[in-house]
Amino acid sequence: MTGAAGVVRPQAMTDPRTALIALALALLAAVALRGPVAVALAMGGIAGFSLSGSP
Amino acid sequence: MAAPSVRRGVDRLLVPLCAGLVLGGVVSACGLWLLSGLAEPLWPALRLGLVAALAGAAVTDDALRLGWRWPQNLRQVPQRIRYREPAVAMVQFGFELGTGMRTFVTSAAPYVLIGVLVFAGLSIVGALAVGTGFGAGRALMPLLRAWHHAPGDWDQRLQRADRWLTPTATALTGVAAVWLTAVTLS
Repeated sequence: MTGAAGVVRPQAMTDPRTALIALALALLAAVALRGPVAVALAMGGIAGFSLSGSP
Repeated sequence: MAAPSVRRGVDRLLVPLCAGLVLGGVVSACGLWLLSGLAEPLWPALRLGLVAALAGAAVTDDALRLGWRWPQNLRQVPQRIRYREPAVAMVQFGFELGTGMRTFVTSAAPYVLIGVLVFAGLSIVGALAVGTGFGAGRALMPLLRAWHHAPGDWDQRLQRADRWLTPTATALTGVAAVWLTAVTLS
């Protein structure tokens, strides 16, 4: 439960699946707000995160 | 697990790593965005079609694990950078990873971003957002891993989720790419 900095965080918060769900929700929110810059930011984030398995 | 003092030292190096990743993403995005003027004479419908085709190909490849050979450098950052001052080395390491030029690209999603940057007619602010988002998205992996209670457990979680994580991320990127291109060109 305790992270590297000694801060207590629920395991689910740092789970890669949770991160992708959070990014997907951010993308949906950006689309709902019709904000192209926000969509570009979220889209870039998801694409960058998709490389998490990269060596 | 490493001793707390060692972990704190590793954590401190995450800041320059993440800064390098974002900087690398921004530089690559701006470089690709410079080519976008060349696509300006093309019909908007054709540009949208090209982005949609690229997104469709990327999603198909990642979902069906076809293993298509997308152009990439297939080289990791050279080991010699570890002889530099640690913070400088981490910035350089992050920068080179962030550009996407010195890493193994294990998902087709970044290629969708290339299509958007070249064909969508984004403003410079939009291109900066794509690059910043890409670098920040890449930075999430080391950050979440460091924040997790046990990095080994995080690796296992990533491995278990990898079957659907990459295709889902690529599909979301593809949908966003088509939406963004359609809105920008309309």
